[in-house]
Amino acid sequence: MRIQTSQAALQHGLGVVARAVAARHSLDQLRHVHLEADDDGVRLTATDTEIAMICSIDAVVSEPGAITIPHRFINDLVSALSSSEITIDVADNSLVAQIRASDANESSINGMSPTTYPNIPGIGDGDWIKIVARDLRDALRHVVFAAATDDGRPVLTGVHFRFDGDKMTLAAADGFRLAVYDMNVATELSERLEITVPARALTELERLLTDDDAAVEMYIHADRTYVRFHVRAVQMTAQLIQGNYPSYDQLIPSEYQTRAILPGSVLQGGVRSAAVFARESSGIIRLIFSGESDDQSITLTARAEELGNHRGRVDAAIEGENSRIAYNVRYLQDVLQVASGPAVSEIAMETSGPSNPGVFRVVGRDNYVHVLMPMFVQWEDA
Amino acid sequence: MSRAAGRAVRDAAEPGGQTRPPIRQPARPIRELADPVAAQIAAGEVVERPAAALKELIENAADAGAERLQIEIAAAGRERIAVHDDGCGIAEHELALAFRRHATSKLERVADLSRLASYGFRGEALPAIAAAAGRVRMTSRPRGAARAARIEFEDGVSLGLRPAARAEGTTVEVDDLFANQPARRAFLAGPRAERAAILRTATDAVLARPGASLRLRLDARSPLAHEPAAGDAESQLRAAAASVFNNRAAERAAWLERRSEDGAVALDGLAGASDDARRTRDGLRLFVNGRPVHDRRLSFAVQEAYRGWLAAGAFPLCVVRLTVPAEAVDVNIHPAKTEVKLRDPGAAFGLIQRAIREALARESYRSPPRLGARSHEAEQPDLPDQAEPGSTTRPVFDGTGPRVALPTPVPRAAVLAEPRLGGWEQASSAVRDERLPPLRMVGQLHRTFIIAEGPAGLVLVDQHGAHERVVYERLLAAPEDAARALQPLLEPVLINLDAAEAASWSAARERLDGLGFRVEPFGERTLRVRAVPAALQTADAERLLRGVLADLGDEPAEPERFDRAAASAACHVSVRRGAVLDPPAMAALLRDLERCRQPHTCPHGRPTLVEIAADDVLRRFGRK
Repeated sequence: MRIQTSQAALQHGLGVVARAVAARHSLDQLRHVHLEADDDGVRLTATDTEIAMICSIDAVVSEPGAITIPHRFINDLVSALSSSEITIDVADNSLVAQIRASDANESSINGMSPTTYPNIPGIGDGDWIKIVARDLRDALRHVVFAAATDDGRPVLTGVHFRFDGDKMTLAAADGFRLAVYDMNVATELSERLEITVPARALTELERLLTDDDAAVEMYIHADRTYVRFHVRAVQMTAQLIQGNYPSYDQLIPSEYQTRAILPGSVLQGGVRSAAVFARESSGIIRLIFSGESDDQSITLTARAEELGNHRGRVDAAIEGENSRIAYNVRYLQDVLQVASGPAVSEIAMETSGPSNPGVFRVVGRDNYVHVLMPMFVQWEDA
Repeated sequence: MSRAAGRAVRDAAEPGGQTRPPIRQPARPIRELADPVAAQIAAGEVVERPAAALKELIENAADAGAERLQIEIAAAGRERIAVHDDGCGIAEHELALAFRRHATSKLERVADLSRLASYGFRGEALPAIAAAAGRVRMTSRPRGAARAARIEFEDGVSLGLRPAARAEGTTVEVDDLFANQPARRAFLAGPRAERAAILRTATDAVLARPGASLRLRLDARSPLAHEPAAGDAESQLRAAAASVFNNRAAERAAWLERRSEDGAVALDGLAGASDDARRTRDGLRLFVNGRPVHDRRLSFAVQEAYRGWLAAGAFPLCVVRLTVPAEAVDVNIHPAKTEVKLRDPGAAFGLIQRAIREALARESYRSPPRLGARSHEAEQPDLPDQAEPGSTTRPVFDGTGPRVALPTPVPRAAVLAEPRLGGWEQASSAVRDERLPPLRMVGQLHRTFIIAEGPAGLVLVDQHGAHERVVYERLLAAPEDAARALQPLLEPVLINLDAAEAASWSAARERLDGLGFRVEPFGERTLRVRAVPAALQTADAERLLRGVLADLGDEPAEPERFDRAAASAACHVSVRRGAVLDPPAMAALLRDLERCRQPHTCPHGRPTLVEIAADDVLRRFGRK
């Protein structure tokens, strides 16, 4: 194998695949990066067996071939090189990569046979879906955080994708909350399709996505065991989570008694102050909605055991009855984080009493809903 | 025939429950066992080891009102057991009767059996001992009698009565205890174990009757010499504990005294400080109506009461003496009378727990200086300043390199009874409110410990134990505290239980409810979980609940005792050993631990942190 490439291209590629390197794994191969050169160019591959990242880099292939070398080692080396041109040579039947930089640095790195490297599943029968990068990124930002982190019910550690015609619905839930996001995709599938993608893979995918109109291609293998995303020069493959995802539509309340509308950033600011106190006990933050004609507001209170109390007030347009509800501050901040992004002006909070699930929406958009179970707490006057 | 006698005959027909194949020889007629045979069978039950014979003799002396006992033992009791007392003595004409089976002065009618206040009542002990032993002599002079008399048996056969010289009281001498029971003799434990059993018997006698003096001479040593103290029951029992355990333990133990609400059951005793805990159950002594008993349930009650005060695997030093109305207890379960059956075991269980917990909470124990506590006890005079032996540190690198010491992985009970090391902190008891000073997070070690800097040096914090403590205290926050909130699930979770889990759940449901679980039965062996305690912050209700049920088992407990359930729940949601923690998470955990009321131990009693004094490190580098 003999390739010539730029230091920048190689460093970029190594950086992209680094997310899939299992740096602490006892299996050598999983700590390595796989280099492969052929007529299609040069590809770097890394996998921790849950996800795999393949990154194509600009390079001139003089002689095809492959080798796997320790990722951390070559990454550190390439970052340290200042020259612009790098040549990598691997003699036939050799397991040593000779790395020559144009500034007269010359190194050799001992590698392993590429035949021992895990196979990354390729493309075969299956479905292709085209999505705009910006839209997918927005969807992931609204949903992925709500997936479960403890793996008691494996399907809940993933994000559920439902394809119906040209509509794609993403949903994530962890037992206390549910986030659902609808969007349109450029491809219309002939039949309904449902898969569950590990949240972790989607977090990595989100990093790759840019805020533009670039097309992302999503490939779902016919046996529904893995999914692959093509984002520019990078392909990310992830194992799908098997098992039935719970049906969630009926968990979204269709009515409310009280609705508060206010700028997301205002509520976020109020919650941030209360959170200082709430975090010190069990994360309880209490919201009291006042819909009087002369006082339309939400009062936020939190108490820190032995440390002190907090009471804050934000103006809001309140529709319906006076009401109150207590949330875990962590979950509240999670949903406000995404629902009050730069593109969002106002959010709507809907409640039906302190013991029924509350709902968060973005005003002016009907494609996102977040359901959050309140905490049962003692109310002082109750 | 009295009930006791009837039972003895049944026992005789089924010797000691030994499983021999039934002998089918119908040609032989059934007849009553010849007396010596029956006596030997009975001996097998009553006198299974020298300590058991001694126990019988001590109880006889106690029943005779003895105030001074002298005991001599040779060859761990095989060769000789002699008990001298100053009791009321036995009249000359009754001496022979004392060695007839079921002859006793203490029980006249069947009805008396339910009101036993004396130790002995079966009338089996002396004849059994006489049947087993090579030689037995009893010399006695009743109070006010002009002279003493002696009766002597050789291999169970009486050699007759003769006059003797002795002060008022009785002496029983047993030589060659198992001469006529070679099989029993072969199955005796080694002399060490027998001596331990004898000592246990004698010390039990002291704790049961601290008002009598008792001297034990055991194979050329005098391990026990108790002289009664003047004063009330407390000072008497403290004196007994000083004789049996040691002065310090007796001094700093908490006095227990409590009566059940209906007044029927009374309890007194001493609850040892956590620093006097032991590695074995040897320091846990239970008495019912003055009789030492081995009762799993009652011992469990004591250990449960100490939960949180002792490290895992440590056993309290604790003397508990219950007085129950004679008719509320059945001691006639086994000839050795070490088992008792209480009519209302739950009452005794609760009484023990309340008495001990109350005493522990009340007492402020002297404990070694610990991180964050005011160090006014640092100058405890009898603590060795720089103890190397029995060290809880071990060198990691041998040879010439610098010696780096780590705590042994399982210090727990092993160090409890030993002196503490100067620079090492072994958190074993956390009775007081002992907040930690601020700790600065430095890093993680072995994916198990958080390294932190404290005011006096390096502090290693066990990440799992510390997290358990934090969650545990949040869980047990008082019900009116906001912290004890429920986090309902968006959708209830159904859990199918197996038989064991179902049993655990019925035993634990009230306690789980009190902690903030909302779980209801949903068809047979299925539970529907609607909410979990907010402090647990996990949505994985199924795994959590299964884990807790497995930990709790179907052991009954008072419904208001949440602590075991809380400890279990905290354990199941806490970060594990091996989990990589990022710096903010570690800093947050340290901050949470600083706010705990008892930050030094996890809910299971293991230390959450050890401190390595900076001075110690400097010394190791030769800088001090």
